[in-house]
Amino acid sequence: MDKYILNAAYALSFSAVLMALAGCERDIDTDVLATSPNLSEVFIDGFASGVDYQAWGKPTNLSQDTETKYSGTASIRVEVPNPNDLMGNFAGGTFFAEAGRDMSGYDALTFYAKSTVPTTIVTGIGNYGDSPEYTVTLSDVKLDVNWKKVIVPLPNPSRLTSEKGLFFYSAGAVDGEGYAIWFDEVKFEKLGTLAHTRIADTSMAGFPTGDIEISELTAFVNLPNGMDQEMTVSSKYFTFSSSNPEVATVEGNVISFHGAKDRAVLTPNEAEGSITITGVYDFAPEPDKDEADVVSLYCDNYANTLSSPMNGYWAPYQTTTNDEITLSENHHIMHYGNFNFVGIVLDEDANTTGKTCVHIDILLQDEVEGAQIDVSADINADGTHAGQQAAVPLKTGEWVSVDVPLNGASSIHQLQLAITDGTPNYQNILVDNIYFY
Amino acid sequence: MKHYKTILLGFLALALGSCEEDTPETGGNPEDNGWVLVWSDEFDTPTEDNRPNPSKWTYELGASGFGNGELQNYTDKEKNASYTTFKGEGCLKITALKDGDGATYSSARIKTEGLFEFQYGRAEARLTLPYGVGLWPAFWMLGADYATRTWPACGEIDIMENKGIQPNIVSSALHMPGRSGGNPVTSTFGYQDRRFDTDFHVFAVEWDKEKIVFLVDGTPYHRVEKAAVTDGEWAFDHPFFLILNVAVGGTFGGNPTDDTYFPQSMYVDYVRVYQKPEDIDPDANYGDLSSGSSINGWDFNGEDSDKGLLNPEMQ
Repeated sequence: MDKYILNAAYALSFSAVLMALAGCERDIDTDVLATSPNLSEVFIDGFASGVDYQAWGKPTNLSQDTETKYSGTASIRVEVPNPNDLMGNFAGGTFFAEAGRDMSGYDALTFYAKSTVPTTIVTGIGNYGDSPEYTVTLSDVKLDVNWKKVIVPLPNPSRLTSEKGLFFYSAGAVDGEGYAIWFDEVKFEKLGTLAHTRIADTSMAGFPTGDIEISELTAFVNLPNGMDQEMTVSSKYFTFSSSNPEVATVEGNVISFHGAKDRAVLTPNEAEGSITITGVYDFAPEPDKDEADVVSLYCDNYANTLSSPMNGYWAPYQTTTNDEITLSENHHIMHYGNFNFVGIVLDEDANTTGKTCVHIDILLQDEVEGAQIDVSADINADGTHAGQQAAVPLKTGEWVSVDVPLNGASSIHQLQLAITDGTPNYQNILVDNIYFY
Repeated sequence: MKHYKTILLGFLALALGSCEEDTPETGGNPEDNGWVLVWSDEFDTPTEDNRPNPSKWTYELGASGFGNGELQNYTDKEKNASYTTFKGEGCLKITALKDGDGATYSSARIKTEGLFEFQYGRAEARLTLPYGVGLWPAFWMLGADYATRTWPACGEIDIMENKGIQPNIVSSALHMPGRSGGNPVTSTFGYQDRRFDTDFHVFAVEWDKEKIVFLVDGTPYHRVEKAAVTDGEWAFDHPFFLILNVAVGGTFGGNPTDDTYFPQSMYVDYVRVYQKPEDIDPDANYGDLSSGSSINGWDFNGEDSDKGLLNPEMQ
């Protein structure tokens, strides 16, 4: 009887515990079972088990130091070379675990660091292999002669079930001189005091069809000292929801457009902030020139025999940034943001012998009345126009085709786009189909 | 047999116990400890204009800095104090904005002055705090006689204050003659691995004629005995009113930086005041309750008088 009761008691109690576990663990996703080890240590007093190092900069720059350490018996010492070092002009590398680690139970990589001179380093996680998926990069970590705890927040740790890139850093010379950096107690932690992951609000153009991969995002996490840590993170950390699936949906980190011409807001489920599709725009008109008559710089319909960085970043007054929208392998559109003016300087001057005009299609994204843009083709770096500068009215959401006469110029050095003096400001334009004919 | 029962019950208790929400708010129901709920605002039903119920709350207005170098302008606008739903709870949201409305920042400070004042009892609020450097949320009480007895003689009971640079630490303080300004009777409470700006936490004070005890999530962490205060003049034997606010900048926790993210909101799930039966005062101002209101067995038969004076009578 007693034995029966005991067995029954054990059975019941075991059932109760099972019930407790089954009934309370609501968040376990049984579809994907983590198989990677969840070790926290990267380097404490030596390399943790399974951790290797790959140098990016000078390959002999790293050693273990038993004299200078934050705690324990050893630290990592990094010699940052001077810029003329033939073996490498910067220090950098990544600590990795080829077998992968399950870091989903942690919320930060932390380490202590100091340097012999005040410096700024780049550090983070996830940067290993040819196609790193889950990178976090802190670009402005300041070090000096005192040990400092650095926290690299993991924006959505649940993604990190088999991550190989555990810790990376890079540092360059200060005032032309090399120096030393130490790292110690490099490990993953569950701090519990990181919160409020947020992506920077951004806006983008939408299109009737095509897919756009969301690039790396600027993100913020509030640290235990109340400060927001700015980071650059992979968009794959997040799952996005669309406010208007008829305009666009997001699968993984790829936006697909579905034809509706409206506004849509893409919101990450795991963070604050959003990406706003401000409008859906038609594609620029199809070019109608024979390819044999064209010398092309930026047009998917022609072979682009010319090249340019597409932005001269002319200091100090230019604010314009640029980013290329890739809708498919054969469909690209250039976006200029914070636009005031931009110089499209050709890598090599275009031979425009026999050509009469340069063509460019421009779309204004901002809701601005009376917007206008100046477009010129210049024969030299001083900005001598080949012909008359075109002053072109822009209309929100509509492509405007501009054909600027070359006036017989046999070579062109650069193109210039600028908001026409005395006309309303705007910030975002799309540019496509730049070619000479 | 008894031994087996103990094993079984132990496991069952473990099983059932572990199924309860593992929140830090495990202080239990105050009414189980003899407290009688005499006033509350649950913020579950929005008012017509979505602003705090005017029968319970009024506003402190202006951008004077309030003697602390604060940077905000307090308004009575919906943008700064409004009903909302947060984490599934009907709440009041007090929001600090960097919108240049009267100052660089606008915010709200609401109070029960003239609408509800009490002497001795337990006041508690369930709050999720704002975050970021330069934010200074507070839940506190001021002596209702401050107009005639200048601060700090009127007394000030700070139930919860938080510095944006310490998201996992709160503090409480008593200001009185001899112990005020930068030298109050104060203490801090912190979590090593948890913050006050991500989930609701219950901040409470239990106050009687002999002592004042401050609690966070049911844990008493700061007990001040009247008899033990020898370097200050006890100023806590008269009615006080409640205050909730989100200050920006100032001498307590410093000013925001350019990186401080706005808007920032403090979410108030509820504010409740309890008293022990012997401290319920028929002549006190218990707010504008309708005639015949009954709270926890107490029948408030007072009329909707202009002062909201109520006459509690045990049923």
